[in-house]
Amino acid sequence: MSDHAAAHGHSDELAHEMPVSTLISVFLALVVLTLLTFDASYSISRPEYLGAPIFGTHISIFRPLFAALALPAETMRSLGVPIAMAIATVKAMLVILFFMHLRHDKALNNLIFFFCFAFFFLFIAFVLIDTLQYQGDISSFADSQATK
Amino acid sequence: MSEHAVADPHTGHDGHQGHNPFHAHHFDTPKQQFDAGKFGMWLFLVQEVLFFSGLFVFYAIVRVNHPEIFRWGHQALDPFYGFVNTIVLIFSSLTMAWAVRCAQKGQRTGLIVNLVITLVCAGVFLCVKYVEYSAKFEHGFLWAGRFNPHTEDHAGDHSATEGTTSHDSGHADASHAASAEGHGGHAHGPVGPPPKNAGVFFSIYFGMTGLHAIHVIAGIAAITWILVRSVRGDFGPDYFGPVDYVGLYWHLVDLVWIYLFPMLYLIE
Amino acid sequence: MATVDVVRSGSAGHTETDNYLTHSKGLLSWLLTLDHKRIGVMYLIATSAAFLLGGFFALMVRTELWTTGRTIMNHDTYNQMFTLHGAVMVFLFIIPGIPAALGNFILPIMLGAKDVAFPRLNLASFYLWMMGATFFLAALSFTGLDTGWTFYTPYSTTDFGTGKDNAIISAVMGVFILGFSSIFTGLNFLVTIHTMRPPGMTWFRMPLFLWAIYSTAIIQVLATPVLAITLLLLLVEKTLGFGIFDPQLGGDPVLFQHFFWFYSHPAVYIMILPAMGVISELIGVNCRRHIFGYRFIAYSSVAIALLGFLVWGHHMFTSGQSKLASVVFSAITFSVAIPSAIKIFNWLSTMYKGSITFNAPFLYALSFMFLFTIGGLTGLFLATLSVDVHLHDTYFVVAHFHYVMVGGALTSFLGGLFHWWPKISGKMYSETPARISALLVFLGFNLTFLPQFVMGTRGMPRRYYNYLPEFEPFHQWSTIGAYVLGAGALLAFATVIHSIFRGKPAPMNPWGGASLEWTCSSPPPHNNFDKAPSVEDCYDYDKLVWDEKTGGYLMRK
Repeated sequence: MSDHAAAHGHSDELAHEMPVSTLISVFLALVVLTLLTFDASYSISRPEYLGAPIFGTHISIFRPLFAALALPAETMRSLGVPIAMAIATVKAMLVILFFMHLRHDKALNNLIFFFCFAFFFLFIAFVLIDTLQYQGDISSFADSQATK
Repeated sequence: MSEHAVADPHTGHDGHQGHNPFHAHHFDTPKQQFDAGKFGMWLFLVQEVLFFSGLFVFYAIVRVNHPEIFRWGHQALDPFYGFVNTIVLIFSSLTMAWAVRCAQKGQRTGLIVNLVITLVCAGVFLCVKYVEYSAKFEHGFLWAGRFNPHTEDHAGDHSATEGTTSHDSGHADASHAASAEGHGGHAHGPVGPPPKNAGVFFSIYFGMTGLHAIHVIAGIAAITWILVRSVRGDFGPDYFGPVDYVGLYWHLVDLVWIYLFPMLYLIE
Repeated sequence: MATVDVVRSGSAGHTETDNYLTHSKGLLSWLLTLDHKRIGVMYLIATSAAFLLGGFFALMVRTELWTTGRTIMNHDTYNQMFTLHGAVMVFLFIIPGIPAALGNFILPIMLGAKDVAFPRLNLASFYLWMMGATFFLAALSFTGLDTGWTFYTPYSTTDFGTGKDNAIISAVMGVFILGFSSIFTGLNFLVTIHTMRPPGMTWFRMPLFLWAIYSTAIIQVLATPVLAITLLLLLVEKTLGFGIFDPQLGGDPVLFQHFFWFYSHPAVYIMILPAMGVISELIGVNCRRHIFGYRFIAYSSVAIALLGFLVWGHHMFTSGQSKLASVVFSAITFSVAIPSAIKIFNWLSTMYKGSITFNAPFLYALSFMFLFTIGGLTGLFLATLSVDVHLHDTYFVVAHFHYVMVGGALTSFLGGLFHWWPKISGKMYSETPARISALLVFLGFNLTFLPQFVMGTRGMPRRYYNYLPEFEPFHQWSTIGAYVLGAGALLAFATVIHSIFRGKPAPMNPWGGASLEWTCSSPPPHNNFDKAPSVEDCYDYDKLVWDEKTGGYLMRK
């Protein structure tokens, strides 16, 4: 039994142990990012939104930022999706790297998991390119049907 | 020949693996067994990502080609519920990751407590989903084939619907109050007439959250299985693979929700 | 330590009697087995049965087309026949045929492992297959499944109000379940190849069959889930009216084809890649010459698997897909010809100056090379946009994909079956009928499908019940060919079954193969290898010599 363990050396540890402090920090970061995505969304879509009411004052990150940039309304709107997706991706990376231990996992597991998103985007990209192309035909057909 | 038959190679191999009853005979070492299981689980998650991809493609297409459907439809969803569920799922992810750590360190009590908390969170998530779904059914905000909104101007009819069903108005009020308290008096419910094909938004909503909910239910089953084995005392520093694998699955469920929440509830 | 010594002495003696077939007895010892070899054999029986069923439907279709108008059945039955032929052959036979049946049996032994990584999951895959097949049979009993194997919307989501709805739902459920069977098999093989290789079995010492199965498994894990979600959406569309593919509800029917072919084009490579792997083994062993361009064949398998994901739109050139997407997909499609051609040329080069044995497996391999080349080259015609507009949905397309799927997958399945049959059953089959079967399959196949190329270029549309009188001679040749092909396949199975009862005991290495499966007894022992085998070059045939006494090959001293 003892020689067996010695032969294994450090590989006796099957996987990396994540410290509790890291786990809790990641959780808190995820909560903050969730609030941040609210902040971004409301700053874009709700003129009456001043910020999260905390300690009698309104706290917001994105509202002053957008106010300072003074972007046209259409541009602001088009920013909604990229900002929300960027924040969601940061959250996802935190979960993947720390909760799922991928940061300390084998290179192969990293490779396959991130590689599969290439296929995901391939799927979205090709279908999106195609549907965008023929969308005009559909709407003109729909219009012609409507006028009949 | 008879003594050879007795000395089955199958049992012979147990000689060097007696310390771990869960070591399968076809693996040389527990490490190999653990790595195989983990790699298998990651492949399964890859499969899950592509399984969900179909719905994300559909979302992207409708989103890009018909943004007006989203602009109108997303108002029927209360971000407060989405927020609660996000926090609940993130917290359950924390306890799940903690459970894996406890299993690795052989802390049986910590493992069991964390798994129970994870299960409770999953239950809360489903309850909130139930409340949301029943509100949608109540108002006829259903997928394209059954889309039949009862309230033409939902923003103005808040008091009008109050008398119809006490159950519905009760939780509608609660959510209204909650979102008003947090975010400055925003009345939820779509404003204005629905655009053409507005039901597609709810096809997407029910498709995505429904498939996600099915995964939550599967997760509850898997965690329950792990919990039973934890109580039995199966896991320790030598053998905690199943806890780790179920944990990975549960984090993926969380991961999908992290995207679904802004995509459905927040983005206009 | 004492137990280990006993095992060693045991391993020397068990070769005569203790093998996987005799290891335990009783029906349950088979139904609940976790042994990859027994699961492989069960798959072999099940997929062969599916093949015979699908073949029966094919012959019904061909018989009906003997004359214009009605021959033996009405048009509704005919529509069901070709749908069931396609669906059964694709989902129940070709996709699981080589990977799940032959692959399950051979892969761990070839690798030098005791079993696949997850034996329970392996058994679960088999029962998922059985469940899926049951749903298919249920669809048969409902009658009315006439969507074609592709389940195109909006036809498949139309509410007919008849038993046809149930048949479609049942068949879609069946394919959904079969999809998970396929995913789990692929997952299992990927993990096995990654983590279960014994010391010395490096990536570039793996037999090419394993590279092919590995590439196939990548596709199975990456593409099949998309089929699963597609079918799930089809189900909610049909039962609840989700409106995802229905233009009346704001959906998009072209989207269904995108979804479907994102899986189903890579699935074509699920069908052909394992076949190519089998051929690599058959050519090497029977030419007694080191396989030429090992690395190129290995890499080309992976290249085909990855390129296969980029070309699905070539099934949709005339479906309403945009011109831009069509042009892009057409251009990428041509590139798939490169890795396929690399394989063909390397096999041909291996044969050059080889000392060739014309046994049945090799005859099947030869047929494969001939037929697959025709199938591949006609694929280039169809990848060309302007030509495809003329040829789409004609018998040219039918002939093209049958040259790849039957000429490719079926011939290599039968070739592989004969090649590994001594290992699987421990019995030698009788060579003459096996060779005749190869000849019948080859001749019958060409007689069936060459006339279809001609018909297709002259405008005979596929799936039609009736046709113009000028096509009648072609259809009749085709029908005769189908019966010859059927006879050849039956003869092949009869030869194999006959050998179980009358075959001579097989030696350890009847063909002189140098890969690991030929180093354990025929049939292999329950555990395959008691200790990790030593791994050498699996295509070095010089180290083997013919031994008259055992009727097989032995290691050179």
